[in-house]
Amino acid sequence: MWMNRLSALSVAVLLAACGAPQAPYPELDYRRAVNAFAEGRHDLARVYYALDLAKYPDRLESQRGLALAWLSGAGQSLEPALPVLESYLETVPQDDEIRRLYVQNLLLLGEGSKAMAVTRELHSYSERALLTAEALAAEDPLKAWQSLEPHLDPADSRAVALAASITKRLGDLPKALDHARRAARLDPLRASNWYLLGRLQLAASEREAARRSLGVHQGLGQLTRGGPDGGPLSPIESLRVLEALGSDLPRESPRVRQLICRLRLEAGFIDQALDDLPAVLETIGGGEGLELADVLWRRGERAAAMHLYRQGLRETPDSRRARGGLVAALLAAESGDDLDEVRELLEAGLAMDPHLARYHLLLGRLERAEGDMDGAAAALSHALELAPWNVPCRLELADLRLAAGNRQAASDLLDHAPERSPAVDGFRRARGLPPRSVL
Amino acid sequence: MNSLLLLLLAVPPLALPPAVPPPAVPTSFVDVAADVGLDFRHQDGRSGRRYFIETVASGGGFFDFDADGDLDIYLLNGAATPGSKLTRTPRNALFENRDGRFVEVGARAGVADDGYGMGMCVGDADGDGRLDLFVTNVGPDRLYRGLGGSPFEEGRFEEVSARAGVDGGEQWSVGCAFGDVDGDGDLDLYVSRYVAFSYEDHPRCVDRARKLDYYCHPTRFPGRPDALFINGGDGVFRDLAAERGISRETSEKGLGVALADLDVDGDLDLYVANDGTPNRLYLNDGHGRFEDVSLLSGASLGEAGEPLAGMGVALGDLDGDGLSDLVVTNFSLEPNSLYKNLGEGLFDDRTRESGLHAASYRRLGWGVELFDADNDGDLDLAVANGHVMDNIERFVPGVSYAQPDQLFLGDGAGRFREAKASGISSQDAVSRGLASGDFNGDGRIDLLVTHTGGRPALLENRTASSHHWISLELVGPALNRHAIGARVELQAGERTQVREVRSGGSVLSQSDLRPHFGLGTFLGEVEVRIRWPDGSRQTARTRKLDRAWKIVYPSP
Repeated sequence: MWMNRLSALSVAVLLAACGAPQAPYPELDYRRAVNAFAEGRHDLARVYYALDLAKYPDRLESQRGLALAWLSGAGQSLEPALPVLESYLETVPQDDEIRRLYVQNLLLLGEGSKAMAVTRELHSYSERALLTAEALAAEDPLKAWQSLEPHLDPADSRAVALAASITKRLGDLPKALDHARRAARLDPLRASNWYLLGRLQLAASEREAARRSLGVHQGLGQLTRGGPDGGPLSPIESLRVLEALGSDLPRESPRVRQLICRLRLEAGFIDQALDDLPAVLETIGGGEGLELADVLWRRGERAAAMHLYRQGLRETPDSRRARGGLVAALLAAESGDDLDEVRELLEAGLAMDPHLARYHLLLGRLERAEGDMDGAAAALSHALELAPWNVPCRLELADLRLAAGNRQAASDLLDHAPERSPAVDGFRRARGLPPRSVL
Repeated sequence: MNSLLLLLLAVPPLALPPAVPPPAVPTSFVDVAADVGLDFRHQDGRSGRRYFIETVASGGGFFDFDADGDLDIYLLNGAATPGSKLTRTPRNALFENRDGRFVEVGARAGVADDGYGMGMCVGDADGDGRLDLFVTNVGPDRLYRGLGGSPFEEGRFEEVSARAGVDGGEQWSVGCAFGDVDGDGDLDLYVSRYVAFSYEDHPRCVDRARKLDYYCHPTRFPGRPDALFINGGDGVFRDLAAERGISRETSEKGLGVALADLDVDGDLDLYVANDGTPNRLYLNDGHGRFEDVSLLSGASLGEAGEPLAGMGVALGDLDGDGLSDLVVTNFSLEPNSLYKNLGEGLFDDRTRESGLHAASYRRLGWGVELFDADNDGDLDLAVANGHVMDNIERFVPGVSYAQPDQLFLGDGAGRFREAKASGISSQDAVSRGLASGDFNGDGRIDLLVTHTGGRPALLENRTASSHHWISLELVGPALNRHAIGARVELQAGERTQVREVRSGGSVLSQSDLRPHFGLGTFLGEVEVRIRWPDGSRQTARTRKLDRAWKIVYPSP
């Protein structure tokens, strides 16, 4: 057992003491954990999975969830994941996704031998070959190459970049350069690809080419890490950075075009962005499309956003992001004609994910749009129970309480927000509610 | 035994070549600070308000302040911060070495500064043949001019920073190094500046969910440009950083500084470790104008091209090719970096190949020294570790505030293996500065490690080896009698070793200026080829080993 019941309980008690809200029924911690993870709140997912495991130490889904939450996202750390991870993989050795993350975390720590041992149990040949090569690249590049070469997918930018760094270590500079150029073409927005290419070009005395590659690396670095003051670049500043890179960054690349289109949307250059959009949409798919859809949605381009959400849902019918986005867009259109479709979409979604807070939040909005305030309040309450950190949901429910004339209930609801939020404070002020009571 | 463990045991061990063969003689270090009278406790002046300056303080180092041939120790101290309950004013301390025991003489020598001390470096700033001491502070820095010429003045200092133009006002200075960057014979001075700091505008950083205060991240503070003080020859310096090509970026937060001839073209180049932004490598044109080659050099970023939080810098030829390689300590959850010098200002990140990646990943490295711990002729590596957040355990599992220091034994080919039983890592501490020098003259290099809010460790090297050694006392040209910037190649049989005489380095610390060479079992004639700071060359030979050998710059 990954953690004896006593120590699991201690963790739960400790977490509860740190302010983690107590669940009123046993399954709730698990459901909250799933929702927290789905919303990218890895910190909360770790807490709720640990609370659930304190009650059900053998629940594999929570073991997996806790491992996944520690191995990814902000604050990622291998140490706390280790006990649950090893126990989980002992029971479910075929879970390649978790094993791959485990290996990647080990490689980050530089634990090559341990990574090799864990990699051996991977079921996917190509993934095993890739990670083995990564683990061996510095210590034994020849073996690394022997592992990678037979499975090298020329369309996989990560594998091709690894091939470049291994062949460089083997002293085959021309081959390394070929791989590095290919990696930069495949994934031109990955700054490390340009850094590797620049280093290799320098080694090959291609100084001017190196300067350009390293310039692209620097520009992309600014986009991800921010400007000289460490703050994030605005969309306009980001566009300027890309503009300054000129043709050194392949602008015909679908990923670059998509990024530029997204930045133009965010910067408010809507017409320019919409001009590019058809061409961008031709090359876009899956998660990239949904990312763009979110931006379009935020910028008020509902038709285009809806198009992309629909496309995403067609490609991946169980995509919560696509379904949720499409429903939100249809609801916001405030066209009574769409409400049947909204209900259909939500019912199908809830059939697949009955405890997904976002669907219940959207259901609440649907009920409200249809005039069923009690139904709306029930759905929003359920959503909030599943995701108590969700500020928009809390505010919408408080708004309903106010509309029903129940100021005290609205005020209590805001008092119970687990995290401080300027939006909650602003809501109180706007509605004339008293400041948070200090107990 | 669980099945996973059985499975792991069934897997044959990974057939990797051992990074470094086991050493013939185990290295052994023992903290003798208390035994030899090094009675000093660092005060960071903390009041619980978590002022950012408390996270960096303070360093120290070895130098022979009274020119009696043995190494003395200078230790920097913090100061009271608002709200602090300190009853006595902390002061820097100077410990005079009297036959291996140390006596505090800071006040008498005139160097018991009460500023918020950071680091130090030494050099003969006024060309009078005596070592001067530069102290970096939060607030005005101090240049102490070594006095002499009469029995009364010997071993005393005069504080001349304002007169010399190097006090820096209210800046927060950290790293420093003396060196003749413009080739005019006198020593110039580089000072790294960290961030803009004031008690009045100090942010408070709180994790509301955990209800915990913590030391703010450096990104909460704007950086400050470094200073390059050019010596006018009359003991007065001017900050000509901008004119000489040094970055004026206010985003940069400089810590460790090294002046060394990285491209072996006869002048001093400059390396600056920056916290969170790319490190800088400047190549000197021979006249004190610098070209920023940071990005092209390959020595300014991590292996994937990401900026790291650089802290300390050490240089040394790790693989016997005659070029100084670089080791840079970084923040925790980043490996320390090893950059192999490829020549012509180009470097290659060899951190993973060196064996340093995994061993340093969780540590927060500060002071760093490359020295020959076992006199076998290969450079070894010591790193002082300690986190900046006193409650880091609450935020990052697996990372602690106090951490063990580390000794890595080199194989002469750029790879290292940690010597965990050396005694260096026997106790977790919050270390900052690290300096090396043979304080007891037994031919084995000892280490000084400073600790935030604690007593320093004086780690006496007791490695029981019969390896031979030789150290050089170079007496340089007129304005630079300590030969800072000299490059020495020592030939012992087939083997050539390279050292440079360096001021500053590591971080917050000053190591012995005298080059020391381990010779292993070699017992023949050694040849020493010196390139003096003014470019002139000299060759000398000796068969007398296991001693300090004085070589004087030839009169013109």
